[in-house]
Amino acid sequence: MMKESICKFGPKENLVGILTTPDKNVAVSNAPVAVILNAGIVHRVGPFRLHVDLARQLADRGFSTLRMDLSGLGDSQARSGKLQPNQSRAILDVSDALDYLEQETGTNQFVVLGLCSGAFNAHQVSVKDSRIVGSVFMDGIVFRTFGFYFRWYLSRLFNFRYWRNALKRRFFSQNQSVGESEGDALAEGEFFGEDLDRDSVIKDLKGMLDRGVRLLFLYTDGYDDICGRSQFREMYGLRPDDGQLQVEYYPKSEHTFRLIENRRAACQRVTSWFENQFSA
Amino acid sequence: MTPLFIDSIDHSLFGMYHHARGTGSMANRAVVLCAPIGQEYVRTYWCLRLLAGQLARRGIHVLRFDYAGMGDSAGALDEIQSLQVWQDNIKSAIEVLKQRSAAQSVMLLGLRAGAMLASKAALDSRDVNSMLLWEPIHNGENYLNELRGLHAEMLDMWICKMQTEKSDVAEEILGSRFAKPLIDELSETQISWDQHRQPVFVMDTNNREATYKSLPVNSLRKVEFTNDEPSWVDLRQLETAWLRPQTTRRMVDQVMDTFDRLQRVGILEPVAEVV
Repeated sequence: MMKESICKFGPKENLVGILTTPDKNVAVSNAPVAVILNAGIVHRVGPFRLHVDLARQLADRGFSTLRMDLSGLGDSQARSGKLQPNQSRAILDVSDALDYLEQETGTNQFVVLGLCSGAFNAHQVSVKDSRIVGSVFMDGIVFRTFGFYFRWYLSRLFNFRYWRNALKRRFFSQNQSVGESEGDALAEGEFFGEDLDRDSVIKDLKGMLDRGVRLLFLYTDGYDDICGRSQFREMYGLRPDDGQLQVEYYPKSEHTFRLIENRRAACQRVTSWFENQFSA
Repeated sequence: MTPLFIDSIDHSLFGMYHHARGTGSMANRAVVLCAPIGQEYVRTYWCLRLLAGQLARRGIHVLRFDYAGMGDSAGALDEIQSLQVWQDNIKSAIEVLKQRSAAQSVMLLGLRAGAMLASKAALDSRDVNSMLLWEPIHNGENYLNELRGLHAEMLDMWICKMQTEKSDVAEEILGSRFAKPLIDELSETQISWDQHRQPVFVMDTNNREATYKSLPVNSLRKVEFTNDEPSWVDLRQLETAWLRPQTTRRMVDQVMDTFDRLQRVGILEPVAEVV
């Protein structure tokens, strides 16, 4: 049977996570362990329990997963002491998690997964830590392109629901910003670096690909700054394939996979990617 | 804080025990927090963690936990066929907290649907000395209809036409799939205000003041109101953290006051030996 256990790690064991391990009969040998990072300020279970679903479905396919709270989020204590200017709280926390998992599971290969700010943190960690062999970025770093504006306006121009909803927000709502989550705005302002530039992200991605890191990008229509799968190539000049660099776009999904149908599709995509990439 | 798993009949539940700071004469004071369900559970997680921390700093033992099928606990939500499962979960949490602390009985502090579950669990439990109900759900049917309305609004505002499951087996409401028997039971459930033998304190928002005027007078019940904005049926706040710092402090004071009163009238048992 699949097993879940509580993990405490980091300085003074201030960090908390749940390790999901598969039944011995289905466990994939020498497989990397997945580490899921917080999305915004939602604790480790993830928005609409996405992280729990992911962890348990990965366990069904033979993979172990740690879903953790970064310091100061969920049930993890804040990290004491001041950070150095070039240090990132998320990188330190994930590094502690990987050290812990190395001791507990004996593996030194990991895959990090994150949604929104979690994807941003996963990007940072994947660049710096050579133990990362795969990354799943859900609604991660994006840059608006000419194609974005073209497709976005074109798709909205003749979309009756879009204009109807806009009018509803404007005239019938007590609050004019219905539909826009304050949480998203806060998460972006608080968690995303202000000085990210496209060239450095391209350099990071190429560095990861050169290192052999397998990458999966999932994007949703609910994410404000992306419109269509082709935007990935426009942003980074990289051509997605069915191998090391895979990109998926969900045109009917909200940013946090609110509907079960959307969540199911995302979980299936991630678990089948895991199987294809790491079962051999 | 000590994370732990709680065995509760068919499920293993995730729990977080907050050690009381400086126990002594207050070692018999313990509170089980009963969280809301569904998306409200996620929204209020941080608030209940803060509340638990504040109570622990005042010398109270606190246990938070996730119901079966929610959060880090075992099972899927749509496997839960009856509210009895969650009421049994509360009783299991009470047992664990009694073992961890020196208390022989506990206070239940429930928020939203957690308040309704707490009130039901307390009806046949000798281990509950009092209840604090925070913005409680009085009527399951009204509650479900509010959530369904919000769910319909969410789908209506979607970029494309979307439908979600509503069948004889299950119903999807705001990202959670509830089993039909559970939905049916919840829609027939109301808080039995007259049947409680324990003192009950209620904190609610002042827009719901009229609801309480129709309740029969009961000397063991006290209701206070806050100016907090009701946000449960606001789509814009579906994914924002629910934080009420001022009311949280009032709840902490009320917990302390309730325990003092229980102690004075001799309801709170003497400190038991910690096993």
